[in-house]
Amino acid sequence: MTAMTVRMTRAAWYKHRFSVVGIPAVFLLAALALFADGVVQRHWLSVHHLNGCLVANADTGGSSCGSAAWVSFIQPSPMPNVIAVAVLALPVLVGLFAGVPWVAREFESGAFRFTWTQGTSPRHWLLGTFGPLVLLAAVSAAIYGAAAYWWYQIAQWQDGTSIWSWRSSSFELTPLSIAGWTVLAMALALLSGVLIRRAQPAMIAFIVTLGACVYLSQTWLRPWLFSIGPAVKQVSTSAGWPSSVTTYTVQTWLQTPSGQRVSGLPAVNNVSAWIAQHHYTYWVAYQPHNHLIWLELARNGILVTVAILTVLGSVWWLRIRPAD
Amino acid sequence: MNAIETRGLGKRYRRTWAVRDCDLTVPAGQVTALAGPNGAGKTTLLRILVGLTAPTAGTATVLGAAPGSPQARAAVSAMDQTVPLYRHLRVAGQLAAARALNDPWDADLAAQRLSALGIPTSARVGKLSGGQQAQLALTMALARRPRLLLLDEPLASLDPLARQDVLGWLMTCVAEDGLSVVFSSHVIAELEQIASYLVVLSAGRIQVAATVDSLLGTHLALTGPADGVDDLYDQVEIVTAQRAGRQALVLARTGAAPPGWAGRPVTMEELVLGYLREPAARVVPGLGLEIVR
Amino acid sequence: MITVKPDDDGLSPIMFYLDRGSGVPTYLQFVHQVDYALRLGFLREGDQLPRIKDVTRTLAVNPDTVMKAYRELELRGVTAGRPGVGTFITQAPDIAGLKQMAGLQKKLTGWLGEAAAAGVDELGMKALFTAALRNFNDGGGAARLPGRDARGGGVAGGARRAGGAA
Repeated sequence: MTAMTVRMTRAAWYKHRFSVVGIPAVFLLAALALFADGVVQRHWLSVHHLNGCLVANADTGGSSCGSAAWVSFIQPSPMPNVIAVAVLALPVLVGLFAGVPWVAREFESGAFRFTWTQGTSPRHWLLGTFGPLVLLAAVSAAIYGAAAYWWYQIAQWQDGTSIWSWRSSSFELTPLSIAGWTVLAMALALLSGVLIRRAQPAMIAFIVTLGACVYLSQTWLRPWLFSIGPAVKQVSTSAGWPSSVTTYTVQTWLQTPSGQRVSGLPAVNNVSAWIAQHHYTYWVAYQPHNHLIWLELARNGILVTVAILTVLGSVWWLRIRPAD
Repeated sequence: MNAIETRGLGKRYRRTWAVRDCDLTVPAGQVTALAGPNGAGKTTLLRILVGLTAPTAGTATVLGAAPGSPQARAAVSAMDQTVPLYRHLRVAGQLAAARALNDPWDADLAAQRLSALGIPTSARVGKLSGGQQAQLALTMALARRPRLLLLDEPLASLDPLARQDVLGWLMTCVAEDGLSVVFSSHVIAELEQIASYLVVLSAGRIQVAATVDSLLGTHLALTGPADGVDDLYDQVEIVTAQRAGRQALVLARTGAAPPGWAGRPVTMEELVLGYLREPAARVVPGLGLEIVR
Repeated sequence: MITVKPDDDGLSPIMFYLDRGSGVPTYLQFVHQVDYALRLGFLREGDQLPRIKDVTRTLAVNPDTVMKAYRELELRGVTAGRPGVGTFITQAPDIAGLKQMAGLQKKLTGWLGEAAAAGVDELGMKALFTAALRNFNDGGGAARLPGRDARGGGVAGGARRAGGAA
């Protein structure tokens, strides 16, 4: 089996050299750019002796490092947002130009009548060539993710948010998350190519399905996951709240003296007085930071599981409908 | 072991049957000619046997194994009508990819043949002429050292000298290695010298499937009076009769010419054309000639 | 570009050729060509006939056809096969046979003269001869004519089978 995989990898190399070189090149170049920029920024910070202040105020942000140098450092920069978008753009591009054509072009150009009449079946060929490609993409994406994560710490200092922030962009900017999205993108690219056996319609289908996955992940999967097993804490309107920066608030409610839940706040001017008057208690359900890490890992795991199932589905589809 | 065995094989696309009710038993070591008009189902049949298409009905085995199975892949090589190749690669890269995809691979054979043909390994496959691409595809098919070769119109883009050369090379492989070949072609005259088994496909059904020796030995081309044809039907089994004024030309399944008729041996081309003109006539192995009118 | 080179490294003194349009079965053509070469002295006792793979490569014929020809020659006692080596001529035609041929040719020339005097042209002569030969084949002379199975049915059993099924 390993001998065959090695042969498949060599076959993939001959046929798809462009992708095999292009995928890591794209990720590694981007990582290099981020690394270079990050080094420049950190050097600037150390020159102005801001490093120590920023680290010491890691929880509250660098705005308290109130020096003129710091003020000039905080210039509105589009880079953090660009990076946050580019994080997903690279997996999309890689899936689009390396993943979709892998099988779609094989059908479109008729080359499958050669490839799949040689010594290996379409299934083995697919797993043996596309499999290593996904692995390569995942590893390259993880390296890129590490560089992005390292780079983003400075943006968070600029932003006045802590490096420990759970904010969506920062969680996406971990090596694991980017690798997970890349694997899912490649899997969806494969499925599009196998189902729609022409390159351009498959590319469109790929973008649509990946977009749908991104949307579902942000609007449904994450809130659903975060609502699992939250910590509960009693708060007052002004104090005791868990940090809005490092935690995620799931739900807040009022509770009657008898323990009944009431959602929503009364429409009065002085809410805290009203609450004290009626002997209500104010509660918040939230995910502390150490929960969030695991939930994000779970989300990533779900993405990867979906990717694996997609790949298996593609292989199965190829088996029952080989060519015509 | 039979090279090809099919039972009730059929393939349907939407509502039309490309191939239907095919029962075939081709012994190993034969050079089989697959003849028939365009759209008769030759390409579909070959693609099923090579494992590119799954049949809708019936079963097929090649060299005792299911098409597309690992045993079949190891022993069966094919060249599709479309001459599929990696056109963006150079010849050297195409050969390297083929070597990576196959375990027994005779790189020397491929290199020798390509250099004998004058095909440079640095040329881009897509820039080669149609004939050179066909030669490359055929070379790679044989470099796999198969026991059965399925060829769909392999000579279509070759010039006469190249056709002769390719046929000669294939026949030498048959002589030396006992290779079985299935060869579909429009040009029946070409197949006459090389075929030892003939399969005629017409409108998706098998009309003729028998050894060339038995076919040529049991058929005669009869010439005689046009008004004698009706009586002839009672005397011999007629495949097809053509009348022109006073003379008639009849293809019959008989050992001797009946009185009043002159008989001569048929050529394979005459045989195939005769059966194609009469779709109701079939030669079924073991049961003789069957004409359903 | 196919270059023409010696096909069999000079193993055999003769090379087969093929007359595709003649209607004569290929294997019989080879038998006749060996016969002809023997009579003209191109082939002598001990000479090797072309190897099967060389014939298939140059003429693009099924190797079975060549094997059939060689089997027929072996049946007639003209050749003998040496496994792994090739097929060799064992018997050259004797001088007496050549003398008989000369006598027959003389008789034939006489007949041609008679036919010409009767006003028969060349095609007519060919037609007469072909008809007579066919009658001779179909009639009692069949047993005396070597190489009888001109219909390509392999050994005579093929023709018998065909005759029985007709």
